[in-house]
Amino acid sequence: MNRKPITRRTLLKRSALASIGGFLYFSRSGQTAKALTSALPETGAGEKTRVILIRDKDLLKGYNTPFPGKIQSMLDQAVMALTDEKDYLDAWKKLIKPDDIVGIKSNVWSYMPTPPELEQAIKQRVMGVGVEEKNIGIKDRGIINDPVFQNSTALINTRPLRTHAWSGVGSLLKNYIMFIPNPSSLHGDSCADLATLWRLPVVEGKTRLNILVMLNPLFHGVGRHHFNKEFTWEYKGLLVGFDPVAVDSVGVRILQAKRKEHFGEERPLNPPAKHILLADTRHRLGTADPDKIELIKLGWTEDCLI
Amino acid sequence: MFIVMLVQLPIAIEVHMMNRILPSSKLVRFIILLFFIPIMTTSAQILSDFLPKAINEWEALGQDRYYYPETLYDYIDGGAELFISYGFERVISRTYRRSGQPDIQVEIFDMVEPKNAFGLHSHGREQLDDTYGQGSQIYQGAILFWKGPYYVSIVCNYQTSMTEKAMETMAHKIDKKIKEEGELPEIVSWIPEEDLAPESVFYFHHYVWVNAFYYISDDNFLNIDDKTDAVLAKYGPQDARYYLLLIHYENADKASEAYRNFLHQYAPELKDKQAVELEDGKWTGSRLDQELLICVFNGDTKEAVETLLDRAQNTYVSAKD
Repeated sequence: MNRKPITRRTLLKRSALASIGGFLYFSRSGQTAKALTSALPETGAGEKTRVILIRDKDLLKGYNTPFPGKIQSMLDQAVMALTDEKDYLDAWKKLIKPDDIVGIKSNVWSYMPTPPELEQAIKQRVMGVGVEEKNIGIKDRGIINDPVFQNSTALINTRPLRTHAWSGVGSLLKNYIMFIPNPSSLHGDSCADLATLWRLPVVEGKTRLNILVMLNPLFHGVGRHHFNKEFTWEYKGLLVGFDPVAVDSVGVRILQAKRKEHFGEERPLNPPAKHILLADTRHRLGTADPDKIELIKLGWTEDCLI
Repeated sequence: MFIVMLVQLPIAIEVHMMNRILPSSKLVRFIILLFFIPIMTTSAQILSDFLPKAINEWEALGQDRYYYPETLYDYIDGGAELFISYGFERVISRTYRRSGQPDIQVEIFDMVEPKNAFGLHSHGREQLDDTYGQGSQIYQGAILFWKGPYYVSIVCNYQTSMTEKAMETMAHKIDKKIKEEGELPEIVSWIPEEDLAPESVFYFHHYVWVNAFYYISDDNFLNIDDKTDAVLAKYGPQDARYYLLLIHYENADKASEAYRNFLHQYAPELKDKQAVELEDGKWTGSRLDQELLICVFNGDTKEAVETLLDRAQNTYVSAKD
């Protein structure tokens, strides 16, 4: 055995892991962990990683389809709260420079793609700070051959949250899997080491913003494509932050809470989303520890589950 | 003549399958192919023979597609590993179309053995239903069932009254066409029934699924693999669940090694006791009987854990006698 396994017993006994692994694996909170994002503001000692949860009760005009003006407004408010700016353009200028080449990494999963309305909202603001349209790419498949992504100086990572048959969840950390030519090469041990994607030269240090789409999250999967609309719900939100591990960990807590509410009992993700824990404890990419995350809630708060 | 036969092979993919196992010499491959073509053709036609040509004016659209373990990723974005973990061998996929209605997508997965098809069915099952095959799950826009070594999926992106009816007819027809029934894995018969939530019985032989109900470990120290059979089951009411894990190993030595690992990595206190109270106030117990490892998790009391251990062991011993 190469390493000491992380068992339930380990989590129960070691407070250093209890809060991170506890909530990921059996809905328990606690303390500890470290934080280091791959790109922007590094949190200082005792400082928390900020994650913005913003929701709008009237956001949707259909499944996974937001009103363009509302999603734009939510995105702006989230970025302002994240950067402590009062003006949306000033906030975006903190993230993107006019001479940046910007890859907006979205997701095309047919049942739940990144909404085009959100992609366009991001693009609008990137252009708003002065980036030329030719220097902006929006893509999922084919990014390894795309000149904008290959020459990018800045990345914006966005995709919807869903349960996943093999990695527990499909979320921000996993969204960069298309940066390698053979994605299934990272499937070992239920995708444990997805965080290594964030150390690729084409990726490392470039991610300016992470947006986890929570419009109609999928909280349980059935059937051959692990999708049925019965197991989605209208959450009508976005989770936004600099640290993908922190944003993912908040997203997972919401999914766990929804699963418990729906099934009427504890129903851990199957398999557990261990790659999020390991992104923190093994790869030091960010923090998964709720006690190290400053969660700011904006907008509609009813049934927010966190 | 040979070339004509080859061109007429209805499912060229079966040749692809043979390519994986044939020697590289062209002459040897030619001779083997010539000899095996009638068998290949029969084999290739089995899956498509289960599928009706048309249902309620829904007609097959285009050619059937086949996928194999190495190509399943191309077809199932994000879900292939689940099927592969249950020994998936191949799948036929056919789309049915009727004007003005959503397409209906039908797949029959060949899981090689009934235990694999049952395992896949038990993964994520919420309730017992035997409307189709040997067990089915019915959701809005989806009918899923298993029969023999096959796992059948019938889905449409959004359900109308017409798709619902067509899907039901489709499921009945496929169910009827598949004659072969399979037995449940033997390990399932060793699960005590008292206090059991029967719909929760979950069979697997890949370690990644061991945490399905209750997180145990991120590591495979219980040595679960294709040569082991494992089953999880829930007991008690929803607000006070406790869990049974049975793992049947190839031989007593392997079971013993896994038992030692469990004690070492998880609960050293069990060296001297039948059950131990963990730091969260819940009780865990474990027992070894020849090739069978029995574990009980999350009991409210020592007695509950020991009773379930006793029942599981007795059921196993009775079955083996």
